[in-house]
Amino acid sequence: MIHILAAIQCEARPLIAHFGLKGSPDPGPFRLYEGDGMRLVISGIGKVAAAAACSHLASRADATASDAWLNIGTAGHGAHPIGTGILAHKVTDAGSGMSWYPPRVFPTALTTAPVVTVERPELTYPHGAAYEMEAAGFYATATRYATSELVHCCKVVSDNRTRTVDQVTPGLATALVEENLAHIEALVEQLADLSNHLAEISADPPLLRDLLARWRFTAYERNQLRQLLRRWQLLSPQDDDAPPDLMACRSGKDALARLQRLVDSRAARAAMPT
Amino acid sequence: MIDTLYIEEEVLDHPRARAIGARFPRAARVICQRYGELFNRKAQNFRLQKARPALILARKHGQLLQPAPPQYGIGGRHHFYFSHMLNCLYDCRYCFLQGMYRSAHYVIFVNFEDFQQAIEAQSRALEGEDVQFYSGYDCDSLALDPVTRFTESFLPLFATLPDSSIELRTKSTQIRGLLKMAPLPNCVVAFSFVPQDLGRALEHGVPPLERRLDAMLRLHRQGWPLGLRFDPLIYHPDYAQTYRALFDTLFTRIPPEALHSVSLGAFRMPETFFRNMVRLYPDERFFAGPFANRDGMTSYQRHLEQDMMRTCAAQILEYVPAEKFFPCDDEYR
Repeated sequence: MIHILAAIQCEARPLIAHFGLKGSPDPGPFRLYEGDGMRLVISGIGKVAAAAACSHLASRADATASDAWLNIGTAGHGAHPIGTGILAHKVTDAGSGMSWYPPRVFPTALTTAPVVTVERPELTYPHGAAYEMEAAGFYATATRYATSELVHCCKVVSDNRTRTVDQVTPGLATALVEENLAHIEALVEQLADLSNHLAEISADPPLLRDLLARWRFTAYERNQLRQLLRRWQLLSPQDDDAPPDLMACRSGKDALARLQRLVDSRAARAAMPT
Repeated sequence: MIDTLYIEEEVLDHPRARAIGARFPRAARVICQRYGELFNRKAQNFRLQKARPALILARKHGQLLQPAPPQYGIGGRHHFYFSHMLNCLYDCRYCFLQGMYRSAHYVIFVNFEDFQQAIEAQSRALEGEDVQFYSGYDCDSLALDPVTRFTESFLPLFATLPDSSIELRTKSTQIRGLLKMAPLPNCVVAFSFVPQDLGRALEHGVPPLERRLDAMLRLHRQGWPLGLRFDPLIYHPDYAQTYRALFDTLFTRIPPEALHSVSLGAFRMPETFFRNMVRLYPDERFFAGPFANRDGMTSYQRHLEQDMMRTCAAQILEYVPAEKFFPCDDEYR
């Protein structure tokens, strides 16, 4: 699952069309769009709105630690031409001075640059950074739900020293995001791949649900059961069936003890890892 | 390949930071205040980062030398380790680094001169006593030597400290720097090994055994004292045969006089590190092995560990005199 946050409708419009997202009928404080493995929220302008929209999306979508998050929008930059797509390698909240460093673990054709989140539009564009108004609120909040390798900010340069922010129209913002769709799509694919990979390796073992339905376990025992089933699965990759005699156990505690014995015995006899 | 180079503002103009930075002209340069702003923060995944680690250039503050764990000893009276670098180029599934750090980025502390001052001061303070320094605790000592020029920078100091010695512990074949220097009797180049099939399964990115053996023989021909490290020992039912084959390969090719020391230790690490590693790699069969927790440490079940240590110690002692053998526990001497 990938969660996308855009500040305003005109920045989101090309994404909604390109990814075939449908508006959610649910009433709520933010406009939401949903599609295959993707949700998009329109936050409104500013870091507080971005943080609130992230939280809303996370709770509404039951976000998991393996979900990816992407903030897409426009920004001003002193050096890069209008239309340049930028992936943030550092996000700084100008208000607090705090910085985050999104770890990039995939190749990208996008230019990378620092992104500074400001309260009001920046007109002098200092320090070779991109200036915008949401990334810090987005990043600080999204990394509470997901690992930071899966949280990124992509900005398209909409204004610079020759073409100032007051000349940016909704139509221009739409066009600039649209021009960068190929880069954005590649980024979405990379993040979706990582997210799927993480979801796959952390998935519960197949038998867990059946056993939890059969017996009562405390939270600690549930965790033990999950670990033991995982070990059983790794030690017996060719066995699809439940560990022998497990289903005949009278209680969850018996089943755990039986499983522990089976796993220990198999672990000591298992061949070398290959 | 390094895509991103994080540099602490404080070391931007440090000559070593500039020299290392110049080796990665295409990497994005990101300035930070302290490496701790991005290294080992919450919400990071070592496994994902390991696919494409960044390089961080920083200054090490505070205590630069640490007392080495007692079982790390290879003779000597006093033992210290230092970490000019954090994390390793290789990706060994049993390595404690992946359980200790949330970040897989490489950190190089460029203020080598401060480490050297600390080493010199410690050696002078213990003058006349045998002081052993270890550099390969939080990293591989040689794997990034062409980038860091660690040996070129540190070893001349040890030439002036005859009572002290340094162990370079490695799985790499990066010995060019050493081959350009005159050998030092108080610098042990120690190579760690596991049986070949295990290495293929668990030591991702590590050069093949033959190439490492070749590197050892080249160092020996030049006169460098060598070490062999069988730590961690990895349990599997036919370990006695596979380790016997490994010992046979190594000890029949490396002349006995080339060896300064041989050490042996079974897989063990703090329970919390092990738990973190299992969480990172729930699909890794190695972690499904016959482990047990004792006194805050995870290691093999006691009887398996004892059998394996006794068997391997006995096999090693067929090739190596007892005075050169350093098991992590004296019980196995």
